[in-house]
Amino acid sequence: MKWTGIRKTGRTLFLLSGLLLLTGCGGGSSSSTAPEAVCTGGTPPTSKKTSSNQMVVYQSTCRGAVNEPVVTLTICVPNSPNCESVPNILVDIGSTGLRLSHTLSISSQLHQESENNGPITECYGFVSGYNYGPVVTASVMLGNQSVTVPVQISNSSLTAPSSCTNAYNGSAPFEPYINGILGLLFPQDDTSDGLYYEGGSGPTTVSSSLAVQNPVFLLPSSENNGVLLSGFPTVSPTPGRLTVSGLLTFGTGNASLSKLDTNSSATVTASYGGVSGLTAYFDSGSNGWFIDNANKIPPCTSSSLSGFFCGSATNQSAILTGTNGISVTLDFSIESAQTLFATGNQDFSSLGGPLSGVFDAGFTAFLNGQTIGVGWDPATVNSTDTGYFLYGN
Amino acid sequence: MKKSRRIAILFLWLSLPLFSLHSSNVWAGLDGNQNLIREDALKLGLVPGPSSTQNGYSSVTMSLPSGSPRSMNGRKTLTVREFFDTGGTIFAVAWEGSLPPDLSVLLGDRFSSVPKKNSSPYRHQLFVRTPDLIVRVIGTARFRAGKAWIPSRLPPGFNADQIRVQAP
Repeated sequence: MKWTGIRKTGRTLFLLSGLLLLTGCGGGSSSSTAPEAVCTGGTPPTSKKTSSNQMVVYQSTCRGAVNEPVVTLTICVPNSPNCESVPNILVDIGSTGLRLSHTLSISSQLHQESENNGPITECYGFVSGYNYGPVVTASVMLGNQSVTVPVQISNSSLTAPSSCTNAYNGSAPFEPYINGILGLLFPQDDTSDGLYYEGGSGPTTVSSSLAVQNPVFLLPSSENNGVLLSGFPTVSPTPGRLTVSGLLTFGTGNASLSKLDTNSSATVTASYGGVSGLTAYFDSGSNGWFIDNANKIPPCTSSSLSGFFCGSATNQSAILTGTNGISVTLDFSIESAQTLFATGNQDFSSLGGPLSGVFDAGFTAFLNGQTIGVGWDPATVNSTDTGYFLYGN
Repeated sequence: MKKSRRIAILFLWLSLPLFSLHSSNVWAGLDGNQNLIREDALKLGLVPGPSSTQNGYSSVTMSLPSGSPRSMNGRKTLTVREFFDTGGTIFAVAWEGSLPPDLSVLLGDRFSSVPKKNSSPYRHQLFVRTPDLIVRVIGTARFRAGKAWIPSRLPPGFNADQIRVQAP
């Protein structure tokens, strides 16, 4: 997508946001020079206090992205002092496993996994395209805990197998917008959503211990049953905020939040605008309210804003209901994407777009003063493939 | 080998790509004819239901049979609906489920309008808008919902919000 509408302010905004976050540019790499295409930029704001099982989440400082919550992760070659502190890794409760850009210095140092027929590569499909590349082993710091876990290196310069390119539309390189994705959705590994290859042949099955995994499952038992995203400011519908920060907590704890059980697609149902039975989910990896347009909010007609609303609507309300019958009500507003992007801000609670039959509560939903989480029963999730969303205060 | 036979074999080899090209393109997708919707379903591994006719258009809904290996005992789903006008031309498609459909089948010849490398910063949404094609897809790695249509081919009185897998 081309952001011609906000490009004028983009460069200034990027520099400004970097200053506000009191950052030094660069990824904190152990090497002296970072590869050209890596998205450099901010390190976490230091004002947030974190517990041992928490990390600071902040708005991506890569150019051109709005409503993109990211963390800085320390990635190490296992059992070695070779580490890199990598900023701008998307916090995504809509995918499973950690994926890193091949342009990072550390990526080329991580050892590729191998099984019977040779080195392992993976094709993992997102909505906007696939990520293809080797599966490696890395040690990752989550809060103050280090876990060693299979990770995908997304290398957009490799030619993906035809079975990958046929299954998903075009490749979607991370750089220059993000440096990686931290996928925090259940189940433990991504084998039901990714295509694996050995020695270039496949798709084939690989041992589950070698498959890319949600690293949270490898944390101690009090922290391995889910994550919470909390502490973001309540952002008014307009004009939004230049940047936001909040907390990622490992383990769902004992918070008194509403628990909405999901099906095996990690969705619940919603009722909105007089239409019930919509497929619904919370997703920190999508940047707006993408919702059934029963309320006839005008969509944008320009190609640069395609997919978003260009009309506004206040006092919107949706009821999300889990498979266990538990419901929560989400109140929100929609504001014109054209108006929002013209502000030069990067975080909006009122950005959205139409899509029939669904209710996607994207990162906008996290900017309404509520804690939102995704969780699972570690003992059963890999057989049931179901979990739950958490919502409340 | 007789010259005539060599020529016949050469002709056969030369014509093979033509046959395979033809056979690989036997599906409909956008701008195709509704006669080939069953071929689309076959290509997508889905089972089509009966055709349903509304005011000025018809549609066929196809879904993944629960016994299919791809369904993983019902855990994985995919439902596709193709819309065609009174002349039989497919003008819109919608899909929903945990598995991605092959867009080269659903979008037919219009698939070439989808960028081969997606330079969007966003993983969970795909929006394409050209004068001849609109595509909107959102979702996660475990659920996707999308629709695509040819704006100039929408029947009179038909609204793009009607392009959906299930009637509200």
